[in-house]
Amino acid sequence: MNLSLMSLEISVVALGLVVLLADLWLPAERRRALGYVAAAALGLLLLQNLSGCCSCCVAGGDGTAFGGMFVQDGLSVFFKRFFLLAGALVLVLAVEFSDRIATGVSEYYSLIIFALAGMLFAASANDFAMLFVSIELITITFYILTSFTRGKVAALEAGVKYLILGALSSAFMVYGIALVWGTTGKFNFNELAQVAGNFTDNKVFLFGVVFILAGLGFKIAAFPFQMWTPDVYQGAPTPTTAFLAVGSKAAGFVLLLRFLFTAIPSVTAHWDKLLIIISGITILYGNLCAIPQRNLKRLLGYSSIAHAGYLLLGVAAMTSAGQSAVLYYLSGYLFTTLAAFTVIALVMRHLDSEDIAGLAGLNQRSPLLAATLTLAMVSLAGIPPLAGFFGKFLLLKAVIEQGAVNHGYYCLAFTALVGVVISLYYYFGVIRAIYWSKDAASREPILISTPMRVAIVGCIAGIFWLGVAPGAVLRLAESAVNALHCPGLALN
Amino acid sequence: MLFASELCGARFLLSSLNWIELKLAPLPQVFNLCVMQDTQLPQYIAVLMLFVLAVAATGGMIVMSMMLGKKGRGSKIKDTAYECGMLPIGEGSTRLSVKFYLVAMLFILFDIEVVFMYPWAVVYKSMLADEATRNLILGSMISFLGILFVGYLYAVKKRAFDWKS
Repeated sequence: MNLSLMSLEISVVALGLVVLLADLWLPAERRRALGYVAAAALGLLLLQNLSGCCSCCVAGGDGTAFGGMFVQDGLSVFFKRFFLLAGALVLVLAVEFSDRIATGVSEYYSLIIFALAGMLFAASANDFAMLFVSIELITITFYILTSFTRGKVAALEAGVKYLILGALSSAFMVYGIALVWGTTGKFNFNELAQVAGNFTDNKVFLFGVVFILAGLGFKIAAFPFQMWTPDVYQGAPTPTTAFLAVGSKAAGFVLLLRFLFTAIPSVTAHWDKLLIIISGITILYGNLCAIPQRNLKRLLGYSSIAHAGYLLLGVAAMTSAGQSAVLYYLSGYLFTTLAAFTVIALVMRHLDSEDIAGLAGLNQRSPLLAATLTLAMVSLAGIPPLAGFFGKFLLLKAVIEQGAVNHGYYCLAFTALVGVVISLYYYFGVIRAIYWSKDAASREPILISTPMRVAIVGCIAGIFWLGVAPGAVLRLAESAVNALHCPGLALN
Repeated sequence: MLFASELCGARFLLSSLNWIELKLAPLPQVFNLCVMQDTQLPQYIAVLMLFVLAVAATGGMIVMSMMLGKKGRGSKIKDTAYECGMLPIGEGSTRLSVKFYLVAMLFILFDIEVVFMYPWAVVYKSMLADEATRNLILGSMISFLGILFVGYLYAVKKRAFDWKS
């Protein structure tokens, strides 16, 4: 029993409970600042994790707990830092948003922290029980976070849609887990990997695997399971949408990577065609549907589907180069998406809908926000020298390298390029609205609080850093992916 | 008495299912269903048969009554609610205080707590005797109850148990 491995998760859960309890004794006007305290605490945890890295990762920091259910390796450490950073930034954004929440501001903060705890557990899940419990912890808190501004009909609609479709996908996943367990008798990923080779032509087993993939596909918003994304992104409060786009998607990807490459590598090896097709259709669907959108959050919802497709390129490549590209792309996506949603939350504060026309005159109202949103859009479109470009480059490189094995990979790379070209159109439509619109509805300057300014500048720095000097994060990603391929700890 | 006879019926049903299952257990091999590789799966044939039986019985009853029964002639007045001969007033469903939902929700929360405690209590003694699991068994329940206690404090301070306000 190795409880010290879980110290990070325990601290985050404790932080959530403390925030919940602090609400009971704090006077109402001071509850708002609780979000800054929580964000600072998450930042401290992140710093502590980063500083402890050199000693803990190398010298016996890895290990398993709860009989192999919980694994601490390079991959989980990478994703835990990712989630902590995302959680801290989203909390700062939530403080900014809190004047639009009628009651229960501290509950909003603590639910974000609990969702974060679920993501941390997902990063370490090495067992179907752990996978399911962590996904449910994320999803159930998001049901509430999505419909938190319950006075708005759009938020309620988003919440109900997410609840029904989320419950359906959970049901699929549990059914799949039951079938996999029924045929193999294994719950642990490493144990399953040893026997999965014997079941590659067992229909019930494959049925179960497909159902689990359906549940994970819902989380990452991949093609046949993407229909909830635009509505939920549009209706949910902006901090929730930001966390959904970054945290929930990344949690889906870490579980997908572990499931495909640690639990059932022998089955995944035969499924290159399936992954290629899903990835290609997801890219095209997201990009084509984003073109006619006028609502900025809805547009980012479709763009997030497209980005799930790009990320699936790296999964479909089935090489460690592809997987490390996924990790790298997610890091860039974190800064870019959070920057975009921050600007939306600040600019659209007094508007009922997040229409693109509301961006008119942003350059005069706040040059910083205009520059931030422009950078975010340019990075999402994948223009050098920003983070999005280098991520897409790595993903495409990984896919094209595999082209010699299967010519489908060339088609996939071509599809992705077509998707990038389509996406230029709608991303630049947003930029055009910022700088070249005539009729600005309001000209008053936008006030930005100091923590918010720090977060925005941090995001911009991250976008540039990942694009210009990719070495450090890429090395981290590569060493993290090694954990997928040689899970030596639990095997021997 | 009714209960006892129902129990007998159930026992009879189960024993007959057992018998059928014994007869049918080699069935997968006969039909060459590659799915049944594990020896555990054929045990569930009884459940499957019970399911089929239940669907057939209920579906059969509905279909038979539709086929054999007489169709009444409906009219609008016949479909109105019967209220001792008076004209019905207002909606059929009355409004309930939202307090009931709150109480029901809290009941479920703290009821589930006890559900987890039963299996815990069953293994408690044996796990306490084992050196390796000694701290785990007590610590897991204490932390679980601690989190629930925070929830309880929250409910009390938010006056969820205050019936009057």
